[in-house]
Amino acid sequence: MNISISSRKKAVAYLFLAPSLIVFGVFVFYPIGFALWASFTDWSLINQSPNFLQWANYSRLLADSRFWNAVKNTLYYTLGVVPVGTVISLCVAIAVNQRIRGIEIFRTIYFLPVITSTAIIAIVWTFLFDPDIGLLAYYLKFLGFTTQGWLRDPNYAMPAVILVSIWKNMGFNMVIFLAGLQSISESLYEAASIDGANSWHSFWYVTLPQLRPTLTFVIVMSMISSFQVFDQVYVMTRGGPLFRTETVVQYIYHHGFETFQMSYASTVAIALLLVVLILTILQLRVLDRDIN
Amino acid sequence: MRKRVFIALALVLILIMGTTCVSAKTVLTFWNGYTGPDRAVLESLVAEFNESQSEIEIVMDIQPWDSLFQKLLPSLVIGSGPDIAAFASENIPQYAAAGVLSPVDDFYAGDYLDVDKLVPAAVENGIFDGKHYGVPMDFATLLMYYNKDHFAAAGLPEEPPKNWDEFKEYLLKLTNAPEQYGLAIAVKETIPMWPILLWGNGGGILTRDGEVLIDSAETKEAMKFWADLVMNHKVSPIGLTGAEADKLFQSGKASIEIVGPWMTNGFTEAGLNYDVAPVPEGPAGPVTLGTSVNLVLSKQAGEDSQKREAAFKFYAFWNSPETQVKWALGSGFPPTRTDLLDHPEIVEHPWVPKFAAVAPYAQFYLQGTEKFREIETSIFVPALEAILYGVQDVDTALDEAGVKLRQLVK
Amino acid sequence: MVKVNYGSSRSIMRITLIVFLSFLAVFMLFPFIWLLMTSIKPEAEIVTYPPKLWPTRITFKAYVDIWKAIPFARFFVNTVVFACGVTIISLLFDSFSAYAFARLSFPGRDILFLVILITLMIPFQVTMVPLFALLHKLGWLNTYAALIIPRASNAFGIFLLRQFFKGIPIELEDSAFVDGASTWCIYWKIIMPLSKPALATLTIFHFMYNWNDFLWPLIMTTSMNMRTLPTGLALFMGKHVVEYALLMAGVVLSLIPITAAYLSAQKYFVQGIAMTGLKG
Repeated sequence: MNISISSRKKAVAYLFLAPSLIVFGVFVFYPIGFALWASFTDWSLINQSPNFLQWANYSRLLADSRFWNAVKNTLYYTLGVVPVGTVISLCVAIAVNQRIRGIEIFRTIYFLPVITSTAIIAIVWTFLFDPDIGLLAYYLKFLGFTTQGWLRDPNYAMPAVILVSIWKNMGFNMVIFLAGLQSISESLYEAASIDGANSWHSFWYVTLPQLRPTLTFVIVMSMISSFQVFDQVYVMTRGGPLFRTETVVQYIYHHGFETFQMSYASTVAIALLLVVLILTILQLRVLDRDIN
Repeated sequence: MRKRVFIALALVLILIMGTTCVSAKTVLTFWNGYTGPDRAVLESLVAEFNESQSEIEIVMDIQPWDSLFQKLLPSLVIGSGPDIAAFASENIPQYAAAGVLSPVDDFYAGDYLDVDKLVPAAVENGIFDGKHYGVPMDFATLLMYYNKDHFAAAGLPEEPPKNWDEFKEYLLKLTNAPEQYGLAIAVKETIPMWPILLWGNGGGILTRDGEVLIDSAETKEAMKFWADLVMNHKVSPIGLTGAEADKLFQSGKASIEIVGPWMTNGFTEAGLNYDVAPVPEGPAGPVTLGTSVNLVLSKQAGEDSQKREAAFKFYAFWNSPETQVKWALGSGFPPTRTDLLDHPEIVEHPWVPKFAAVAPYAQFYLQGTEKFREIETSIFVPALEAILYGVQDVDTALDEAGVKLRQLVK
Repeated sequence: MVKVNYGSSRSIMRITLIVFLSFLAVFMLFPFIWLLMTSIKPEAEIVTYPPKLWPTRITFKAYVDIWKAIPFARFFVNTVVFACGVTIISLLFDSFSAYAFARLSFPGRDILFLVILITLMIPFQVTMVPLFALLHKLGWLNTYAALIIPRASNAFGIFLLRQFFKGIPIELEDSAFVDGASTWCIYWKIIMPLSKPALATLTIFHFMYNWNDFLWPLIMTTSMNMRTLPTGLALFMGKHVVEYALLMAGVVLSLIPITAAYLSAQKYFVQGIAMTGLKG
């Protein structure tokens, strides 16, 4: 039998991919396809015989000022969380990568927020942020600051949510960077120092390039998950006050479970998906060039 | 030998089938959202029902209301939902319109229970499109909780305020923001408090018959009165959720809160020296909020005559005098029946009689409309916030809200 | 990092580092201290003004009551089965796919990778209902199958491992290939052992994400005895009344296994890669 090498290679590749693809096909792409279909109809749980609406949902979306407000808020959130969070996590990862005794304690502490559920974290922070009976406002009073309440103030609510997200995710990205840092071969650093490089040169010419795949991952994943933020917002502000923290997924929830217009919610979700997809493609194109 | 084994097996099989047939219980699945301290009381009463007879077993599944609502409608539509469920009566139109509930007019027509003794408002708000869909499970009213120590410290009489003028006077004396607030009133994620203030002047949002009141002169007047007190005299913080308002009163930072009977345990445990009184009367007369969680029967279960019968028996048990006394004493809620006010144990309870006493003038909030959730989150609360945060003045905000509301309920 | 001897300025750097890390640690820990204190306070002391961090009276009542208040043990078992099941299967499936994307060439590879990333870009709120209906049709509702199988692979893991695999020097695989090793052999005997830090990281993430997941197990189960810890803890949250002490005690108890898992995986983070293959 003469199976060509390339077709055998292809077969092997597909074999490796098969388990994941089957799971995705049934349990992810089918629902996504359903959502796509729903976005062209007026389907809802209450109206079980939907009509085909063609582009009506989409034109409604484009004219929907509350949707654009949600987009603006989501962008604000993403720009607040991703750059700052990534830089801080990288610095901390490098800091805890040192061979100092007891450094594991710091690593564990920084990881605690990550292993706690977002909803609980949001409940705890909401209590702490309370301007009347919360500890933060109480301590700040001794330093001379008074506040009307961060989560109740339309201008400070989003920054407060951003702060909590950065706090929560720092350990997450730190651990990923650590895995990346740990796999950089010592020999590369030795070679660099033999060539006369100081720590800054080592960082710039050895660490960063070797970390590129990891960095790509962190930035792309942070961006994707920031665009979909929901839990913190839902628990801490429900999208208020005055819709200033309403993110796109919060708006999807509103239409999915408060007005029960699932089809419109699906429309918003498909629009979100397209935006995130385009941004991801752009980022991958810029960041994910092969390093070998 | 083989023949004997065969006969033995056959006998065993018959025995098994026989026993399963004989002990065929009707099992009813029951979903509700009674998390928190009330759960223990509910579970013990349901256990009592299960133990008191062997034909019916109620299996409960309790989740927080938020997630319950996310799951309940899809489950009922798909067919994997519960046989009975309980939720606040304003949800009934949505579920009835989706066709997943079974009308229960025959419960009211039958003699399962002396239904004329049930709180009328709780029953009325379970009616949609001319049919009964709900049977009351609980009934609550809101009263004004006040901190007696604060009154004394401010030099106020022990008697709580009876009308809006006195209310204003007390609030101004009690407020010393941000150290102490006269009132803790919640704007969102709460049992409705602001609507009571609007009703007090004859205003409102939307009546059961579909009349839009949110931009009426009375509503605007009431709104201006209270917005002035909150914004200019700072009698209450702005933007509170229900839980935050409760915490404010509980920590002693607010002197007055208008809320339901479920808070009494927490406030007592906190050691507050407080009492409750009817909400001060506005120009339109005494009014407060009433709310009722209703028991509903799923369409599927309703078509099974055994399950239907079993459900009705449970409804009758739940609303029987004995059960309602235990429920009231355990949860602090007033009973769903009007004939228990003279019951010795009820009379002695420090709070239940007071909450029950205001039932005659308790109004319900946004009933009879499928869109109530949208009205609350997209129209009323945003208008309220726009006013209180100073983004819009009262007339503009309420006029705009009126336009949106008319559009929505057309 | 490279050890270069700069004498005393190195100790200064070290001290500054420790100071910076300590401040950060306090910022990270503070909410947890509040959480822990709340779990050992009597309920009446939790909502007070002025707020107090430290309890005046310590009570472990919440830790005792919680086992009766909810079927904590049952929820615990379910959560363990769910989280472990997903983690183990996912590690396998994700690493298979990640290897294919990182090292094997086949037509449409990059497009397919993007397609897989798409699975991350759609929020649960819109996929919930069709997925729920599908699992109902399959008859899987309220079983471990419904909880685990839809999660048996996920793009996050595939992406993470792909990036990591891409960073492994290709010379190792090339020499094995020249020696006649099959793709599977290279994957299992070379790539996987070298990827311990990434695999350990992914284990923690999968385990922790599913351990804490609230909505998914809630929606896909229809009876209390299949529920998991997060849904159990939610029973302490009423609309107005939150039973803070019980809730925080539950959180502390449920943090213990994940912390233990993290600590045992820690040593894989520390382990450097023995690049003996390269040097030799």
